[in-house]
Amino acid sequence: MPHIHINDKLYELLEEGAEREGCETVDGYAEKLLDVILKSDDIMVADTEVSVYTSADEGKIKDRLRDLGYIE
Amino acid sequence: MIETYLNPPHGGKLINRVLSEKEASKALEQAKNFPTVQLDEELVKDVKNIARGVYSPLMGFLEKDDFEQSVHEKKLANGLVWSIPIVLSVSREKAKEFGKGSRITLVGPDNQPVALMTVEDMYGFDPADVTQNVYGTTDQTHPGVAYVYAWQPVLIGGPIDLIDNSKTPFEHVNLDPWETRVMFKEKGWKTVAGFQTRNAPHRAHEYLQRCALEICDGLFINPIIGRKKTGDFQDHIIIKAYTHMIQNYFPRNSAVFSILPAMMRYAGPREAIQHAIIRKNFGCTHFVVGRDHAGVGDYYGPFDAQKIFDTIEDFGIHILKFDNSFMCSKCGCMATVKTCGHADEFHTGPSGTKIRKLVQAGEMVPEAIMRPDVAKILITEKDVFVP
Repeated sequence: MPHIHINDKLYELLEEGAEREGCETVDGYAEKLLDVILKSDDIMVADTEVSVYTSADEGKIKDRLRDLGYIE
Repeated sequence: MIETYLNPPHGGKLINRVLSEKEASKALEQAKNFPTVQLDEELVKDVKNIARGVYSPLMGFLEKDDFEQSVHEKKLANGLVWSIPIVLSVSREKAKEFGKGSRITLVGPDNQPVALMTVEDMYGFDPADVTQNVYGTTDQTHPGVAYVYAWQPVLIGGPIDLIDNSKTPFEHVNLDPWETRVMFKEKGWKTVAGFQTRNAPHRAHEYLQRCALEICDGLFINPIIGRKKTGDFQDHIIIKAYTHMIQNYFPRNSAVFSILPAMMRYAGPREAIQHAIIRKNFGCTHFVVGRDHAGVGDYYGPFDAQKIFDTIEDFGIHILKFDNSFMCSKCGCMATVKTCGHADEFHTGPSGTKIRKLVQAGEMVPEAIMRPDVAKILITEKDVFVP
């Protein structure tokens, strides 16, 4: 399944945008943006999935899994 | 973003309604101004499961269309399979404090904010209709039916945003779907069998788990931790016994154990579907359904929970159906009627009643039913069963 990867910088921008637009969550703002993208005829998108989990979060998850002994 | 490793979540998107630290502190301030609805411990678990993606694609408690479809058609209004209604009920008096579009604060038993909710729908229901369809009976001695009859008269639906993302108790064995998906990838598992249980490990379950591991790269043992009926194993016992089993009997990196904080509803076939959806969200590609899955008393036939999967559309997880397993003294190993032709007199299967009686008397469970070291854990622990 194709995915949209975002980095910490983009996450920060989404956070700022969410605040500016009065969206309660960054996720909500990201979806709002995506909705605009999906409805634009001149933009090609491979997948509709979006999430605010960032690569940094994945790192945090791995740290927790390591701390708990689930992964090495 | 974390990739959706392995099996895509139900509905294609893993839901995340957990507020970031910054958002949560802002929400805590807002929460003070909203009407409150108090949740019991089990509803707090439902809220957290929604927010963490365990119940994907749900983003909140069911609205009327989804509720009606799930009760009557085992589907959501968008056509996705969904067999157990996840609802929040309030009294008529409480319902007067807000309306459609209102923001409310969901508080826990300690009155601390757990989540914010936007009320999108308020509606009534007929408990007899719900229980007959979901549980196959209106008999209120059935614990799941009694639970529905205890609902308040007004159901409220709408999305939630989680403020309190704590995982206590048992935080050290509590992973959400975002975490299990990363873990499965790190372990290199391409296929994973989910195993639901509410029991301490006995040989019959161990046999099914080993069979599943012969088929899949990994085994995800995921017991329900939460309100259960009298005589079921207490949560801490299940955790202790399974931790011992995994450390001592499964190959390293082949099986993992993590709890599923949720309430058992004992809805038999309907709950088997729900359990499979949940494990799909965790990233499992396969799910084990044995004899009398999620059953109670004599309300369901021993294999109803397997047959129901033949009546619904494939929703993207492979169901591993197993017959009753037992120790055959002639074969000298665990088997089922599919693999052993000896008479019943040579077979020893697990009996919950027998295990309970022996453990309560401080006696060892026969080795044919349970490993002695596991049985020893049970007889040396206190408060083994739900009173």
